[in-house]
Amino acid sequence: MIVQERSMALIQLANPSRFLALVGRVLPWLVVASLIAFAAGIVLVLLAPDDYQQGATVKIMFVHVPAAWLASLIWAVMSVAALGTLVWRHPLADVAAKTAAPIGAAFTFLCLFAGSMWGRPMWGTYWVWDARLTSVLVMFLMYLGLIALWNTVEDPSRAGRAAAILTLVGALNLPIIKFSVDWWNTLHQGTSVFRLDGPSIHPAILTPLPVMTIAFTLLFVTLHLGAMRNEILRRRVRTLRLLQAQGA
Amino acid sequence: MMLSATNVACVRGGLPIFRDINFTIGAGQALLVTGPNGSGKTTLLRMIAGLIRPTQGQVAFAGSDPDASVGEDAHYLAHQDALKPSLTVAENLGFWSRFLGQKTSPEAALAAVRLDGLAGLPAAYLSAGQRRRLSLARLLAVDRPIWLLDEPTAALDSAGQVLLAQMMRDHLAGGGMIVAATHGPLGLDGAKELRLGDTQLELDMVAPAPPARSDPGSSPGQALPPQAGSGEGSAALTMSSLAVLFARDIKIALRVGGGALMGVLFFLAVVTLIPFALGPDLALLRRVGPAVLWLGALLASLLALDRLLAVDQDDGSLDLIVTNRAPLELVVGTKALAHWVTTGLPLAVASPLFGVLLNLEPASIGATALTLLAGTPALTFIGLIGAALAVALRRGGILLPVLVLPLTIPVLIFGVSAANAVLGGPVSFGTPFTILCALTLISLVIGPFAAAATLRHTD
Repeated sequence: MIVQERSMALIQLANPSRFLALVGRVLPWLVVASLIAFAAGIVLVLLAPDDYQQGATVKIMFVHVPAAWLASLIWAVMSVAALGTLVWRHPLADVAAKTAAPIGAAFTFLCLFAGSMWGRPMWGTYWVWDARLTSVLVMFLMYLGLIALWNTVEDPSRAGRAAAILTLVGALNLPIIKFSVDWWNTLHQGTSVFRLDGPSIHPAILTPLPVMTIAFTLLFVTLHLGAMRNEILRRRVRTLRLLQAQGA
Repeated sequence: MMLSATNVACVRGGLPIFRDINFTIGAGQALLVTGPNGSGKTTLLRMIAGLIRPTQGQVAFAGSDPDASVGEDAHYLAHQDALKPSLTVAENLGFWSRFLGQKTSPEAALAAVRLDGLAGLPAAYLSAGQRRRLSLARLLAVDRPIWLLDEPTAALDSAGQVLLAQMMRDHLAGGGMIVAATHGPLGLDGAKELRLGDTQLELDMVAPAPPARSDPGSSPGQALPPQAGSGEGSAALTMSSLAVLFARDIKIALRVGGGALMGVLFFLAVVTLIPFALGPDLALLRRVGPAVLWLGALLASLLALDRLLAVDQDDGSLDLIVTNRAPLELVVGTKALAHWVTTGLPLAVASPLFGVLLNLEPASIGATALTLLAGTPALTFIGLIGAALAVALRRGGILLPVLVLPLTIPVLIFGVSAANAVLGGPVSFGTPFTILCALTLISLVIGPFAAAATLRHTD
């Protein structure tokens, strides 16, 4: 009967097997596609003209903006996964949400870091409490809180549902936070700072931006699928160890 | 009435605990769940109580109210006593009987377990065996047909065990049902047995009892009409049980160890620290005063969140509270409201005094107190989500503020802006204050729903 109980656990493990096979087939192509997109993007960035005011530093934008885009996109991906966990109870949704969080935090940090590097020549300081930077910082804090939540509980399925609720609450709150920070910023902003959407940037400079955005997004999809595969394997190892402990 | 489990399986943390559990018990029948430690006896009881979801299969109860879940018809007697040490014996029992629905009067139930002489004593003074008897009195006082008893003889002396056996026989004779996890016989003759954790999983199929002995009140046909026609009655019932919960939480907060004014004390300490950091420059303190008061109130209300749900979880009360027939959103919302009255409201009330310490102008003091009054409910109800997460994950401490703090940023922004606006500035008081009120209203909705979802989904 123990054998049967074990086989039941193994059936549960086998559930995401088709996903693993799919990832195995798709992942090499995604890696190639990401490499091509990055190659094209970097060439375009190098060819793009410098800004007449900012010089070459304007090219930090090609890292900063796609990273900011991914910071929001990944929270959206996690929110869909959270619905998958709570509503459809799909076993992969949990895995997708958990593995997306560190990647999202990394891109959010990259966005902050690039913004800060860009700020030094533009504003004369590494950090200003600009509305955009500030709301991204809050988002970064929320990513870290979510990762902390994932890491407090050993049992991934129990942590999964709690994390899903926090993700959805965060998704509801992020627009409110963005609105509040914008409001707070306009209240306190004495002088106008550099604005991305101002006329100071010539359209010709912006052409590499969509390519870099696609490249970053492909990189995220690649990393995410790879991380999901690792997480599934990690959970299998965990279950096998638990069974080993039980059988001992 | 019939309680049945069909092909119930449980996998916890990737490990199968039990599977293919099947049983059916009818009115007046008992099921003894036996097995070695770790075989899943408590898990099965919690599953019947609706506190854990079955991984497979289902538990069903055909009772008087078709809309009620199994948990709402069951009374779970756990290892924890669900007693509040600062409330008296009578208050403890009276709360549960009014909150969960009264059957016998609390006085009669106390007399039945021979605790009537101790009714006025705080529960903290009771011995382990007396606490157990008080829990047994709760079984008598609360009107639930299914008793789920987790090793009920623990800490009972032999007289207590005789008493328990008599109670159980009376309950069965009255058409009730008992599922008991036990290592001993309990003195129930003719009870069915379900053994868990053997290499040979026994599938104990028990035929339902003939309905000959069931009393007329429990037959579905007769119990249905008043249920169907009493929508207003059940709403009134919900309101009264929420009011009982509210009163109890406030009472506990005000009693010994309740910590109602601890937040204000912490608030005062924070405000006192600020001049030491900034220097005693009165002009500077006046300028940053509203911000300091808001930060102090924010930190103080975060500090208090740890008590909002975790205390009830630690002593087992939460497991009983969630089986109330009122929607869980309303129940946790009521708890948050009581929590705000005892922790948030005092902060707003104390803030004018602390404003004087910071050399604030009268208009500024009034505006800060008003914004705290309007904004601290938002802090409590946003914090409710964090408190529910901490309870669901059984992790408290620093995790809670880490999760909650980023969500409170909008409240802080508009609260401080409104408080500062009266001193003149680019905006009038009304704009940020209206948004602050909107934030409070939003969190009054989101908080209870998210917290209830957390408690429901994470078992």
